[in-house]
Amino acid sequence: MTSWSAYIDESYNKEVFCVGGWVAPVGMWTRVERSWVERIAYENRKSVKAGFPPISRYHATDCAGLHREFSKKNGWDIRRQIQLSSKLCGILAAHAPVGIVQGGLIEGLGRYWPDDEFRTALYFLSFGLYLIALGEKMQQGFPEDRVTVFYDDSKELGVVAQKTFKKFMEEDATKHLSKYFVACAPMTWQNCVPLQPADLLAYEG
Amino acid sequence: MKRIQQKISGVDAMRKSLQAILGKRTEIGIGWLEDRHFKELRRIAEERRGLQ
Repeated sequence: MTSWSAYIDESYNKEVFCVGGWVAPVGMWTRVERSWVERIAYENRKSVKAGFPPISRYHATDCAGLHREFSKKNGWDIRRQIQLSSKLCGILAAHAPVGIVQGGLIEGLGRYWPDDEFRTALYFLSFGLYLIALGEKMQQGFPEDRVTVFYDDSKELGVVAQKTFKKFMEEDATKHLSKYFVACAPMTWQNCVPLQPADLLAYEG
Repeated sequence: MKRIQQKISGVDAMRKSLQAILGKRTEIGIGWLEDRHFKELRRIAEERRGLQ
């Protein structure tokens, strides 16, 4: 039996909400993480050498829009942003974890959910469907293995993730899939590098 | 998010750059929420309110 880890993050704009992330055997994550950290360190050496501040991590929205740590005043431009994204995608391609994305239009829910808690509701739905898709992947491809889920923690959505996972584990209708799961735990980007590739997929997926 | 937005907008081609870089070996499953999911969520919420 091999232990797998799934790392999940959410991304949204005014129109769309989505949950995305990668799942891979624990050993593969060690290699992905090493390459990822090396690439970020390389970028930081380059920045510091040119008199710019280093970045704390890869952050898809900021990198794509040249915001905050990735701003022009910090030495970033479109060419460098594309180059970094390509290199990070190359790391994922070299190891080939499995990506899963679930999401939908905010407007779609608005028809049935008129209050302002739509983000919580969309997270519940997207995270739940993500767990189902992940369970189906394990059932079809790796029925002897087991997976632990790690999600990007936040005050607003962390509670929803735990409730959704609990419901998924207790429901009779999902018993045939939940048996592949070990646990679900919160993590933050400060102490969990694999949440950065999850952020990339949630944004791009 | 970008891909979901394109998919819902009717564009069925994955963002070319991402697909080219990730290559064919990297499997990505993308699903999107449909009307039936929103209806079901509404039904669950109403059921819970009824129990309170």
